[in-house]
This record gives sequence, structure tokens and C-alpha cells, in this order.
Amino acid sequence: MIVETLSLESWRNVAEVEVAFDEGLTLFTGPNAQGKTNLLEAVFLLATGRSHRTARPDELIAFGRQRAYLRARIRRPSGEYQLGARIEGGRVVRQREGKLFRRGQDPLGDFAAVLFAPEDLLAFKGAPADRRRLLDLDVGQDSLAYRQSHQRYGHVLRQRNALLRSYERPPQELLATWNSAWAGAALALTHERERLIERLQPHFAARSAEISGGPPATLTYEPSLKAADPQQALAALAERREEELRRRTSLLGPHRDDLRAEIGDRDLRLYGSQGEQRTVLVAFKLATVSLLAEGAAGPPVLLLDDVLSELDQDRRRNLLLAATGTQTIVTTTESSLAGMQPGRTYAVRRGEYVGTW
Amino acid sequence: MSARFPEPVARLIEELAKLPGIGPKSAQRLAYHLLNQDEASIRRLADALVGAKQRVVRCNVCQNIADRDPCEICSDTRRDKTTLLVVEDARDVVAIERTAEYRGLYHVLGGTISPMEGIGPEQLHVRELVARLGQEPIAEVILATDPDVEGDATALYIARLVRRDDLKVTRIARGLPVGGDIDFADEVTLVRALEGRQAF
Repeated sequence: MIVETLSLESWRNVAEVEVAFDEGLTLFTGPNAQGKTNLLEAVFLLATGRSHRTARPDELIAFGRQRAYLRARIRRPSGEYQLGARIEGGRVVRQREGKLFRRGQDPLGDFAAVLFAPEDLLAFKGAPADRRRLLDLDVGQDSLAYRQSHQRYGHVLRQRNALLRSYERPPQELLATWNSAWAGAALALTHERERLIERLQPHFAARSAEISGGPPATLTYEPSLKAADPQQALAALAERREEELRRRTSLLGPHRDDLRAEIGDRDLRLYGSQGEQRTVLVAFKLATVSLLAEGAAGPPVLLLDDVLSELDQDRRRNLLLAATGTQTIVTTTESSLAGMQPGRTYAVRRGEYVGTW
Repeated sequence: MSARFPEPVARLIEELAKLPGIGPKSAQRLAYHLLNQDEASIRRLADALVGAKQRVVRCNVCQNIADRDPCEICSDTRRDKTTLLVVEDARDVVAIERTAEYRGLYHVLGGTISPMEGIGPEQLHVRELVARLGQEPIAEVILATDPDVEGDATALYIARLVRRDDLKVTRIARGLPVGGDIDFADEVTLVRALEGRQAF
């Protein structure tokens, strides 16, 4: 689907503004700290219910205001609809055509966005949490079952950790109860991740070969929990019991999963040049776009937040070429787009967006 | 916030804001609404509040709130004394009674197990439940806590706790809402509904 227009009210440094997007490439240029990223953040929040920059929704509200509003007009083959969000009192509430829905409960899940920001660039070298975030925020938009399993596991994990924290030796029966709850939720999310990565892998291999002109890279899931059923999961958990009681936190399960990317048989977490890290990330994002495009809604919106300047001329060009056919919104401090022509261009200054096309 | 209100108004707002679902803004609106009423209707409201508190007791058998102890349901001889339905709170009893289908007894837990909020079995009426199972001729316990993380965990905890050869322990079914459309149901609900399918 296509985002046709987006209006923002009391959002970050934006008082009130409406912008229209091209169905191909839209460019936002301007110096740093003027509000370019704020706009991509808004599109991403409409798709996922979250900001990629903060876990505290109140930070999204303009200084001195009580609430922020986003409204977008989305066009899909079957027609148009309004998607909105209100941020107030530490909560994000989204609505479609005036009907509210909660995160993880969007029954159609048909507006997706893939965001590529500079902090993603080294995800394959960074901490496992960075790689899990790629899965949860980007790829996870593909499946409601994934989002629900992810949310349920997080909830069970917080309860189990609270139990481990509140007792030196939790009562046997109580711990057994939360262990069972953990086993069910952990197996479900592990299974969902397995399926998702299996489907992502061929896209990832093809895209990485395309971008580098070399051999394809591979993507492998490294689950923390290796178990076929709840009994095996509980047995694996029992082995960590003493350590968990000592450290008073959960040590096994999807919150400790990892993702391995390899070129040839070199693990990019350990080896791999800056260039290879970038290739792999670009391939991952483009693979995510392809995977989401297979879904009911067609291609997601690709949001490139100031990453072009981080890429060399070839990768920049390959990224933009590969994104042809996908609505793409780019922010950049320079105007070079490696020869690509944007359909619309805006200059951004202090939260004002001035169309210059 | 309330520093600018006259002291009695500020006190009223503060008390109203303690109610569930009432934020500071709603509390202010309610307070000013109340102040605009005549004294007789305010008195009726106050009497209703105090009267409800004074005349309502907790049933020592099922832990439900009632106007006498034991409550109407627990002392009704026509009810099936061999079936016990365990719920989170008093409102759930009302919901199930409204169906007029269930003829057994109830037990109200008064919440669910939630380590994050510091609620364990000791904070709930679990001990009273175990005592009842020892004294009353109960053959089946139906666990009807909400189908969320805490409700499921509480049901699981109780099921393990009361397990006994001569006692049947069941969990209420989950799945598609009646009158719902299969193509509108989310994937997780559909999976649950498939798991819980029944033979014709």
C-alpha cells in the first residue's frame, strides 16, 4: 500500500503540518536536527505502534502539549482508508477509520513499514538484542501470530522475572506454575521465529548476492531454547535453575536468541569488514521488504533515515534500484541520490516542511 | 494540581481520583458536577455509598460480596453442591449468573497471581478454596479465570494445588465468539479454537 498523506500535530518539534508523498521516491533534505527523522518516526509508529527511537511515548509529544496526533491516508488496491494515532499519557492508541485497535491486535495488519537508520548499520556486529530488534520490529510485522507470541512471551517473562526477584527461594509450586507458563510462551515464540527466518532466508541470500556481486550470505537462527515440547523445555530450564535463583532472572528463552549472518563460512559477528556489515544490513532490510510484500497488503513503505551518506556510491545505487516499485521515503543531509530522481522533494527546517518539487 | 481549588473541593477531587478509571481531569469534572446538584440528591448519593458499605458483607463460604453471610447462592438448597466454579472477582459471578445455565456453586479468588504487582496465592482466597474442597462434597472444579497470562497462570497453579484422584478439574473453553465470523478471527484465537475442537 501507499501512504498518500500524513498530517502531524504536536509531534516532536512539529506544531502542525501535512505532507503528501510520492508513490515512488520522496526526499526530505536539510541540515541535522531539523525534524527529518521525526517524520519517518511517525510513519513507522503508524505501522508498528512504536517509535524506533524511544520506548517512552510521551517523548513524542511536542514540548508543552498534552497529546500528539498523527493521521495518514493509506491507499491499497481495494480502496483508501484513514489510519490515525493519538499519543497521550504514556500510551499510543491507533485507530483505523475511527475504530481503535491495540498493538498486536490489528486484525488485518496491512500497513507495514521497514525503517533503515544509521544505528542499524552495525547490528550484525553489535549485541544480540540489536539483531532481535531487527526481527521483532521489522520482519515481525509480517505475522499477527508472531506479534502476539512476542507480546505474550514478554509478559510472561516480566512476571517470571518479578517472581525470581521477589524471593531468594520462590515457593516451589509458584515457580513451577510460571515455569510452565514460560515453557508454553517460549516454545511458541521460538517456533514463530524459526518459521519467519526460514521464509526470510532465500530473500536475504538473493539480495546479498545482488548487492555485493559475490556469493550469497546466509542467515541462521540461533535459538536460546532448543526443545521440541514443553517437557524438554522444562528439563532445559531445570539445568539453569541454580544459576537463575542466584542471579534472580530468567536466563533461557527467546529473550536470549541470536541471529547469525555468514558470508562463505565467516561469521559476521566476529569477522567482516565495514563494507560487508553494510552489505548484510542492506540485504536484510531489502529481504524484509520482499517478505512483507508477499503478504496481503503488498509492498511496505521503505523508510531510509539518513543512511545513504553511510553507503558508498555502488551500494547506494543498488539499494535505491532494488527499492524501485516500493514506496520509499528518504531523509538526507545531502541532495545526491546516486542519479535517482525523487518524485517529490521537501526542504526541512525547524519542523517546517517546504515542498520544492 | 489541586492547590488552586478551595480546600473542600480539592479534597473531593482527591477522593474521586482514587476511584479506578478516574483520572485527575475526570475527577474535577465529577466534583463540579456534584457541587451543582441540590443537597438532597447529594445526600442520596452519600447514603447509597455508606449504606452499600454497611449492608454488604463478604460471604465466608464463597468470598463473594453479598447482603448476608452465607450468601444467597451458597445457602440455596436447590443448587448443585458438587460443582464449584472458580472466578477472579465478584463481577464474574454476576456475568455467569446472568446466563441462568450454571446451577453449581462459586468461589471468588479476589484477583489473579501477579508477581509484578506483588500478588501471590496468599493475597487471594486460595486457602479458603482448599479448605472448602476438604469439607464440601465437591466433585468438579471449573477454573474460569480470564484467558490472559495471569488468569492462565492462576488456573494452572490451582489445578496443580488441588489435584486429587476423586476430583475433576476443568478449564473453561476458549475460542471463537458466538455469532463471530471465522474470517474475522485472529490467528491465535483460531488456533485455540482448533485445539479445543469437540467431537459431534
